[in-house]
Amino acid sequence: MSVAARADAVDRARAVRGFLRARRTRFRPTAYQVYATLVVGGIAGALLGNAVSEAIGGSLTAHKLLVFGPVVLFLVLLSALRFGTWQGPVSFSTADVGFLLTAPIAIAAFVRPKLDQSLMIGAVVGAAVAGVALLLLAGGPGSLGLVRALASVAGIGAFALLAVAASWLVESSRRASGLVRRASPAVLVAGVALLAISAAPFGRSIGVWSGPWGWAIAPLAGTSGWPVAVALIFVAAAASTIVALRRAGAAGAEIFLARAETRSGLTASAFSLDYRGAALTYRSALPARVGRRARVPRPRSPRLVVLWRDALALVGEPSRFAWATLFASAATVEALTHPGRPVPAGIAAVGLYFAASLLCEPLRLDVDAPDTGALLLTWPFARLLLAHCALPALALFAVTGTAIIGTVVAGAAGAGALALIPTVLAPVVFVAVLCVALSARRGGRVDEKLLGRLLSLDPNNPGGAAVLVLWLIPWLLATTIIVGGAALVIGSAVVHHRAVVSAAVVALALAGGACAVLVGVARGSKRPGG
Amino acid sequence: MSGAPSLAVHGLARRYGGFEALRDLELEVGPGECVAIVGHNGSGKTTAVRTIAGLLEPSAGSVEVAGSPVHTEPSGIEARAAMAVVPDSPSLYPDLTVHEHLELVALAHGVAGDDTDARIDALLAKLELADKRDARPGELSRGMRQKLQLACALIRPHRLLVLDEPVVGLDPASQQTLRELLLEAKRAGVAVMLTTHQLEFARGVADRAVVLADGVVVADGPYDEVVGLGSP
Repeated sequence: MSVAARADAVDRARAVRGFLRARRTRFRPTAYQVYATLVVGGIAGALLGNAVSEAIGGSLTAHKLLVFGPVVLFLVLLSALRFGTWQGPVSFSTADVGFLLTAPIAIAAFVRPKLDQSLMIGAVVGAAVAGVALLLLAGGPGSLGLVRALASVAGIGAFALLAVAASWLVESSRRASGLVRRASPAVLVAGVALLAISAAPFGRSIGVWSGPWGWAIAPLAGTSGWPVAVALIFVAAAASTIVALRRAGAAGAEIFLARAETRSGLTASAFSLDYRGAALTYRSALPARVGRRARVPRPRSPRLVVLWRDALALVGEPSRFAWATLFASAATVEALTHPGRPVPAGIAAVGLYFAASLLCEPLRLDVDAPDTGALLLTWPFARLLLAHCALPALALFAVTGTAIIGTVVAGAAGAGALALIPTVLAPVVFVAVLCVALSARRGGRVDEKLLGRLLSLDPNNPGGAAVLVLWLIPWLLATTIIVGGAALVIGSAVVHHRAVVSAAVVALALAGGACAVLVGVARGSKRPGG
Repeated sequence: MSGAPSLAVHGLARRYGGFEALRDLELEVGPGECVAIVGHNGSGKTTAVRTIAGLLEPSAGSVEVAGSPVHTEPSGIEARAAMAVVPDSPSLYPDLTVHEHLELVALAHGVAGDDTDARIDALLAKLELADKRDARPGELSRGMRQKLQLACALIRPHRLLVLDEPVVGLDPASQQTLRELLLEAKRAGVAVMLTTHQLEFARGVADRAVVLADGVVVADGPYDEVVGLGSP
C-alpha cells in the first residue's frame, strides 16, 4: 500500500469520525449550565469532602496503607487484566464493526482515539482516588507536605494508566487473554500471600517493593525511598503505555465483534433482569479452553450417573474448582479469624454461597434446558436436585476442612476449631449447597408479570425495590442469614470454649431444617419448565 | 493483480476451542461468477463467510480478494476495498437514518462526492426504500433493514460481493429485486458468493454450488448438477 493511499485512509477515518460526531445527539451544555454545575458541584463537593473527612477522615493510617494498599492495587490490576479477556478498554458496537472495521481503513485509525481516551480516563480516575485517599489520611493531607501529596496523586494515577494499558495488551491478544484466564486463580493466591507477607512485621517493605502495586503506594505511606518508587512506577507506566499505543493496530475485527456481541447480550439480559442469561453471556465470551479433556471412568450403577456427570463437568473446567476453593478457603479463614462478629460471619456465608454456586453449575445448566434434562433423565426433580448436591457438598467439605486445619496449624485459630470438622461442618456446607440448588430451580429469571408490576410501582416507594431485591437474590439472603447465623453462634461458642456443644446443637438444627426443606421439595415441586 | 481471481481461498480452517467449524476449504471465484454455499444449519456456512470477510481469524489457510490477503495489514485494507459484505443479521446504527447510513459507507470507502446524494436516491428507489430515506432502523421492518444492508454493500465499488443468507426476511417481490441486482452485478464482472437455504432462489443466480457438511466441502460443481443430486 502506497504512502499516499495510507494518508488517504487516515483522512477518511478522520472524516468518518467527524461524520458520526456531527450526526449523533450529543449533550452540549450552555455557558449557564457549566457555571451552575461548577458552583453547585464545588459547594456540594466541599460539603461532601468535609463530611467524609469528619466521618472517616484519619482512618487511613500508614500501617493500614502498608498492609492493605499493595494488595488492593494488586487486585485492581488483576481485575483490569481479567476485564481485558472479555471486554477491555477499547470497544465498538456491532454496527461499528460492520461499517467501520470492514472499511478499507486501518483498524488502528479507529482504535487509537478510543485507546487514548481510555488511558486518559484511567489516569484521571486513579488521581481522583488518590485525592480521596489523601482526605482520609491520618493527620490530614497537610501532614504529607506538597511534594509528597503530589507524588501520591501522580503515583496512583500512573498505576491506573498502567492498568488500562495492560488491559488493552490483554484485549488485543487472544494468547494473552487465554494466559490471564488460566493464571488468574494462581495470581489471586499470590495476592493472598502478598497480604499475609505485608501483614507480618518483617514484610512491610516487601509488599511496597514487590511491584507496581507497591511502588504506587509508597509516597502515600511515607516509605523510606519513596522517590525511587515513584520513579519506578512512572517508568513502568510509560513503558506499558508506549507498548499499548504501538499495539493499537494489533487487534483484528474478530476481537471487537466478539466483545460487541457480548455487550449487546449483557445489555439485553440486564434490561430483563435475567442475571442467569447475563452470566451465560459472560462465560461464552471468555477464551475457549483448548486441549484434551480429562476422562472420568463411567459408573457401573445408573444411580451414580448424576455424580459422574458433575465430575465430568468439574474436570472439564478445573478453573471453576480453583475459584470455588479460593472462595471457600477465604470464607473459612474469615469466619475463624473473626469469631463471634456478625459482618465477617455474613461475608463468610456469602463466600461459601459463591463457592457452592460455582460447583453447582451442572445443575443450573440442566435447569436452563429442562426439556433436555427431562429427556436424558426421568428422575423426580427432588432426587435429581439432591444428586446434584452430592459432589459440590463433598468437595466443599474437603476444602473447608483443609482450610480449618491450615488455619489452626498457622496459629490463626485455636485448636478447639478442629472440633467443628466432625460436628457442624458437614451440615453448614450442605445447607449452603442446598440453597444454591434451590435457587437454580427458577433459572435466575424474574417472572415477567411480577417484573411489570414492580416496575410500575411508585419510584418513591422503597418497598418496591426491596421486594425486587428479595425476589432476585432470595437464596443468597437465606444463606447469609442461616449459614452466617450459624457461624456467628459457633464463633461465640469457640470464644467461650463451648465449641463442641454449640456446634452439635447448630448441626442438629441445620440438618433438621435441610431435611424439612427436602421433604417439602419432594412433595410439592414439579420439574422446572415441565 | 488484475489476473488474480476475485476470491481465492486455500486450506481455510477455523476452530472454536476444540471444535472444528471449518476444515480445509478450497474455493476460487472468478469475475462475473456466482457461487452458492449451501448446507444444513451448523455446517459452517456463516463461519466461512465471516472468515472470508475478515471478521474471524482463520486457524489455518489463507483468503485473498483480488490478489490481496485479507487477514494481514496493510494488504487487508486493499482486500476490504475490493469486497462488500452483507451479514446475515443486520447491525445498524440506531441513531442514523437510512440516507445517513449510505452516506457513511460512501465516506468510509472514499467514494463520497457531488453525485453521492443522487446515487443514494437512485439505489433507494431501486430497492423500494425511497420513502424511508429519513427513517431510522427502529422504524424499519426486518426485510427493510436487510435491504438497507444490501444498499450499503452496493453503494460502494467492489469486485467481490459476499452475502450471508440474503433472502431471510425478504418478501417474494424483494427476492426478485435482489435476484435482478445480483445478475446485474455479475454482468458488471463482480464475483458473488452467497450462502442460502433457499435453493430455488439461488437456482436463477448461482453458477456453482459448494455443499458444506460439518465444516467440510462434500460437493462442488455446476449448481444444477450438484443441487439436482438433492444434497442439502
